[in-house]
Amino acid sequence: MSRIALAVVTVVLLAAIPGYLSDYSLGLMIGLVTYVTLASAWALFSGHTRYVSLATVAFYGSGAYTVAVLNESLPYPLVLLCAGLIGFLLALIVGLSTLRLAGIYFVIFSFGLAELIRQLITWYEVNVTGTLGRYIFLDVTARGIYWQMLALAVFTIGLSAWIGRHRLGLALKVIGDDEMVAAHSGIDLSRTKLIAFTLSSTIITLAGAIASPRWTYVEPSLVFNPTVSFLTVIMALLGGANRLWGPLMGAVPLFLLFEWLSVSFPDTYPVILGLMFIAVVFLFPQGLLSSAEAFRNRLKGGTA
Amino acid sequence: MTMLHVTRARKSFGGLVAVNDVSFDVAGGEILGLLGPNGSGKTTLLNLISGALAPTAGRFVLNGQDMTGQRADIIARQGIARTFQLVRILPSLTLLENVMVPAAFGPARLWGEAVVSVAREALEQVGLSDRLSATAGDLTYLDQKRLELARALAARPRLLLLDEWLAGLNPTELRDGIALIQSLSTTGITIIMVEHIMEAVRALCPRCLVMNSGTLIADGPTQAVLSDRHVIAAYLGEVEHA
Ligand SMILES: Nc1ncnc2c1ncn2[C@@H]1O[C@H](COP(=O)(O)OP(=O)(O)OP(=O)(O)O)[C@@H](O)[C@H]1O
Ligand SMILES: [Mg+2]
Repeated sequence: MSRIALAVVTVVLLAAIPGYLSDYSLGLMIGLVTYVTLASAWALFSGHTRYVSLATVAFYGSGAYTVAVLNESLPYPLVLLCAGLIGFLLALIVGLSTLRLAGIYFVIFSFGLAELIRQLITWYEVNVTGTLGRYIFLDVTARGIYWQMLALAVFTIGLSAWIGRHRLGLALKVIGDDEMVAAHSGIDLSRTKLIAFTLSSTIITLAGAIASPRWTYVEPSLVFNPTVSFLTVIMALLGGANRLWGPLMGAVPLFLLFEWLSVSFPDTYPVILGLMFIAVVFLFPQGLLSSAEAFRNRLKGGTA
Repeated sequence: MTMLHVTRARKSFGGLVAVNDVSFDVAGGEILGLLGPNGSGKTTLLNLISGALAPTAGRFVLNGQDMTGQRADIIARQGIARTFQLVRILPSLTLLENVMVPAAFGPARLWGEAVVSVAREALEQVGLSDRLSATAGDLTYLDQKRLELARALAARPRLLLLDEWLAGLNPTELRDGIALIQSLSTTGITIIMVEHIMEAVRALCPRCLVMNSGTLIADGPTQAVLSDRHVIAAYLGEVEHA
């Protein structure tokens, strides 16, 4: 009970913050909460199943681009609804066609997906609509974006907690450990993976839609930037993607670090990012926290 | 009453026919031994029954229901559970969680307190109930085998497939293992067990099937089968020379 109370107080405090922040700090907070949402939503599917998805920006970008296309013709709540729906359908199609792929093939496909969608949209805009680049004119304030993103983050972590206590959570864990055993225990592999992937991807799409007014000017190469996918994976894995609070624990420090790096070392930043990705995937696939705990246990075991 | 009805089951891997038109019936409550030299197709036959592999041809009927070519999870929900020759536990889950899985997703689809009590009971049956929250990956090989059996039992299966579950046990453990399977048989469960240990086969299985190079070469009362000329030539001869 006290944990829930603590969470409620924290959320209320976070919701009250914008009034005390400069524009720059508020922008930083929006980015921070966005990555908490992305990393938590990513972990909802990939954390337990261990299917490393690099498709984050495919959905995030689709959300943003949907807003860019629809913002002048529909009221904002309907635009968000459409973005969510598009994310849902896209996830369903992608999930049905790829979730049978094993490990590395899934990683490669998920990475290619963002590029595929970017190229398709570019082709369509150039050849059919004749406009490459769109403007987002919405009277959504920075505070409005912050509050919406905060709500989405809370929803995502709440949903993860709920899943963790239900059948779906257990099924995902079993799939992550051994798909053969999962199937022989009566778990419908495709359905379980599809549900988790669709939930995760729809949330990521909504995050893209909510964040999009920050851009004002949108074009495919801007919103389908693969860095978003890599950052999300690094944050979630480093914090511990199979723990409820792991993605958040990874996202907060790493977002600030990357923000600082990208300003201080704009040229070497991509290289640093790549090296970190490799290091995290190979050295700490279970997360820094778990690795530290295992190390501590081993030390304890050794001295006992 | 016939529990499982297998008709001309066949599985080929490229040119190799691992299971070659095998037909047999298993009655409810029966404990059936499945014997044969290495590579004779025993595991492949179990894989066909459990749905781990799709058959090239043949028909599988469980309790009057045609299961041919069904997915493993559907077959599991119809009441077939198994252990694997190379033990497969869920290493990152606790013992209790491991065993909860088939109770939650198997035929009974339990949840809440019911799933926990079924899981505890199954762990008790194999003597692991004192370590419910230990991580399965930390268990010794023998305990992993026990855990795997507990997991199969927690499904409350009608048909249990054991693939050399007694292999690798020392004489004391073997005696306990045989007693454990014997105690299961009194519950009315049907078992097909692949086994190389003759002592166990004689103690547990009134009836045996023998395979050789994918073909069923004998099916009958254990004593008669083990003294069959073809069986001795194909199987026992090899063991004695080994
Ligand atoms: N997935 C597979 N792909 C190709 N060949 C296979 C496959 N599984 C089994 N085989 C082959 O089929 C034959 C039968 O193998 P199987 O594992 O069923 O034998 P077994 O009777 O269980 O042997 P053992 O006593 O050693 O466990 C072997 O020649 C094996 O190499
Ligand atoms: Mg075998």
